[in-house]
Amino acid sequence: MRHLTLLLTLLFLLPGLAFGAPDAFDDGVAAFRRGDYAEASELWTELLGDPLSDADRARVLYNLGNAAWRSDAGGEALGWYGAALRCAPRHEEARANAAFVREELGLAPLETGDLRGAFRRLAESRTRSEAAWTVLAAALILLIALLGEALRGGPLWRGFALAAAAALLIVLVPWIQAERTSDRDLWMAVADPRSSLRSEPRGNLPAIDALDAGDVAERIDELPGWVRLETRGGLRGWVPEDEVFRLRR
Amino acid sequence: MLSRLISTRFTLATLLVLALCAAFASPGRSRPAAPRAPQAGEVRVTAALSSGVLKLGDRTSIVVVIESEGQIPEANPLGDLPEVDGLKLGPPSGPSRTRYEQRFGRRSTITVTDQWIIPVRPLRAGEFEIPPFRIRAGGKTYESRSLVLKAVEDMTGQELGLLEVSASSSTVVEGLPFSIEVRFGWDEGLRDVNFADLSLGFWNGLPGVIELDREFPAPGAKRIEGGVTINGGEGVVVEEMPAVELRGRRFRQLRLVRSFVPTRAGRIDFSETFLNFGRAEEGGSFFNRRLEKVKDYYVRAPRFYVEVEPLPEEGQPYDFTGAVGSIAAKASVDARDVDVGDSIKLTVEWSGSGNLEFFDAPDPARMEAFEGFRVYGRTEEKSFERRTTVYDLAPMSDEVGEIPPVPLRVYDSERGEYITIATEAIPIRVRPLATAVELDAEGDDDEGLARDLHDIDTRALGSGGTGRRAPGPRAVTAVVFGVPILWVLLRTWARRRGDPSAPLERRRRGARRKLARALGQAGTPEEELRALHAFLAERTREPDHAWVGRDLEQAERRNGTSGSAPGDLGELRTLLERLEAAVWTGRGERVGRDEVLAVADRLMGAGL
Repeated sequence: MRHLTLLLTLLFLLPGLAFGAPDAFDDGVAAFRRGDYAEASELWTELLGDPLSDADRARVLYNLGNAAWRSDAGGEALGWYGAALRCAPRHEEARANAAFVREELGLAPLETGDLRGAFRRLAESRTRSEAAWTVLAAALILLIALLGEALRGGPLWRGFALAAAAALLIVLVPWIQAERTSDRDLWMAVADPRSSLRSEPRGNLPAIDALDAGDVAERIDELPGWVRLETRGGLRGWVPEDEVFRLRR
Repeated sequence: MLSRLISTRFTLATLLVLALCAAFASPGRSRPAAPRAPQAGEVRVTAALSSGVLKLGDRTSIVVVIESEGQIPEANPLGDLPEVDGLKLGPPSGPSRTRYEQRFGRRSTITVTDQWIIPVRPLRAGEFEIPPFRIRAGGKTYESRSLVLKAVEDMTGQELGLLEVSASSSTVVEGLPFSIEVRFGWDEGLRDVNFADLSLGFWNGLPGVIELDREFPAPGAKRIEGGVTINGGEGVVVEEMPAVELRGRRFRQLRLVRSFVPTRAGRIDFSETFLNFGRAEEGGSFFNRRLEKVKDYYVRAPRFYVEVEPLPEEGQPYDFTGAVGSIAAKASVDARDVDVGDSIKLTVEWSGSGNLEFFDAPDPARMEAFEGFRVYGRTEEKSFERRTTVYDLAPMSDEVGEIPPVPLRVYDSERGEYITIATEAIPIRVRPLATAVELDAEGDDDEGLARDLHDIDTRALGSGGTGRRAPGPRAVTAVVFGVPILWVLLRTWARRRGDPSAPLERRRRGARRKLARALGQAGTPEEELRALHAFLAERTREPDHAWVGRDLEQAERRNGTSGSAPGDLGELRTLLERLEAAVWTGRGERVGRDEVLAVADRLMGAGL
């Protein structure tokens, strides 16, 4: 039993001991407090290579966004906040800072306050893990309700089962959304004010479309210095890598 | 001879019958003569004055009748009314339409008659010829005859009546209110005057002006209600003035005042005004009582004009908001000793003669003098003689020492120039807040409070909770689809033994609980036995009395008793025998709740 306890303790402490993540994080905080935003960014960016939980990763990404904004890199800050929100969709401070940066950069607000936007935000309010666990919990409740309905019958159990089925359908929406977007390699345009899409990865070719700063597109190919993206409108084109920001970190 | 007599009688009878037949066959002849209808396709136009001679100030009307057969006149057959110098015609009212159908044998004719009434009022004395009215129908033009109207001055009325209409000023500037005063009356010697009607052309219809809602008569004045009407209809309240001596006569004097604000430059025409006064008595039929003039007089007042001049562009301040007149301003506050940020209600009152209801009050939020204040809003009350605006201000720092004057740019019509009317500055004391930063002044967002990023997250990593690994999409999909499949299978299996929600099944499931409750309340062996019988019946889905006196072995042989073990059955048999013996001999004792429940549980465990 003692061996088992020791083994479990080691398993919990191993990530921290092995990678020194808390130290790097705290060093980054100290550098940020000193006003050395470049060092803070460097420390925190290295930290992203470590295995982190979604919550911790979101906090590091969020701090990187603040460091970028203080370094006068507004577009990059927007990208970091976007990446943080992908890890923790309910990170209100990241959302607020992103809105602030967009406003400061003169970009249109992402949340327009209409019904469609509210549904979208609701659908994207859960991480993939949370959405999956929520679906399983709802399925368990539905199972109990259906067992009752099968073995006991009666209107009460039927009503319970219907309510549980409706709840399951509702929680399926964020899960489907999370699964749909989980495999996508999304990039955010951070060039000020816009990035030009070209048909080939050559700068001397004419632009075929543009991505406004803050627009998100899916990566479908990559070459040194260039990323091929597919916009929400379905148009594909090449963008210089330094004008876009990878949201999966 | 006889034959001739018979022949004569026959002839007479025949003639009589024929005459009767003819009489019946031509009913039109037996009716009263109808008015002569116009021929087919013809239109007849007639026009007539209801009175050919009238006093100046009185009104009459022209009745135009358009009769047509088969022709429907146009929607506006009268078109533009003829212009007659000295007469005011219209607007016409109507038409009043009647249809008249006549039958002559198999032929029927329909005559449509439209009647139009055109009011006529003479503007001066004289004889006037009203030209014919021309009607167009079916591509043709029809006309009535011309009419002659004579209007005579009512010399007696001019002598016995008083009527003066005047403006407060013959020249005003745009936006400056002016008043029209109507003074009227009659000789005090006329004791029986009981009505007065004023014909006022400007009543409810003067272009280029807005009528002010001013209280009239003023409080304290002697009011006369009833007896005075305007334009023959609307009753009006007037003010009784002291009697006045004119032309050697003493007149009772009444007054009516209306105020207007001119909205555009130009000439405002006040046409001739008439006063009709006299005695009227109630008359008419029983169902249609109305006042009929017994004796009346007319007085006329000449037309006049008010010239409205535009506001001069020269010297007009950029913040001029339309105030015109002689206006005075004063200000007051509800608190003079406040903390930073406290609300102060600044009340500014403008009064005097001017368009107090129509200018925009100054906005302190746009004034440099009010930079030390935040203006939260204002409320206003407007009346003819007073304009009160309450500003809600808050001083932003303790350096503010007074509420600055509130200026209003006014065009002073008497001086003919733009001037500034300002309130007095009001000294105040503003105390600083003990533990607070100063509030931000109006529009000064760059200093003091400003928006900024939320700070970085400094909590140690891992304090946000450990991340759980997400179940894979296949697992989630399998669960989501597996649950309903499991339900279908389980339900099918469960329904093979019947519907679990059927009453007998629900009764069976509740049998153990019911037995425990019944045994807890049982006081005699008989009640225990009854409870046990009920339990057994419910478990075997039988009526309550099915287990009374039942042979257990025979019952087991018949339906197997759900496979109960012999030991359990023997125990049940023994229990039932004990209870029955106790009941029928009357000497036995209760078995007890626990023992009966123990047997019941074993039976249920064995499949009962």
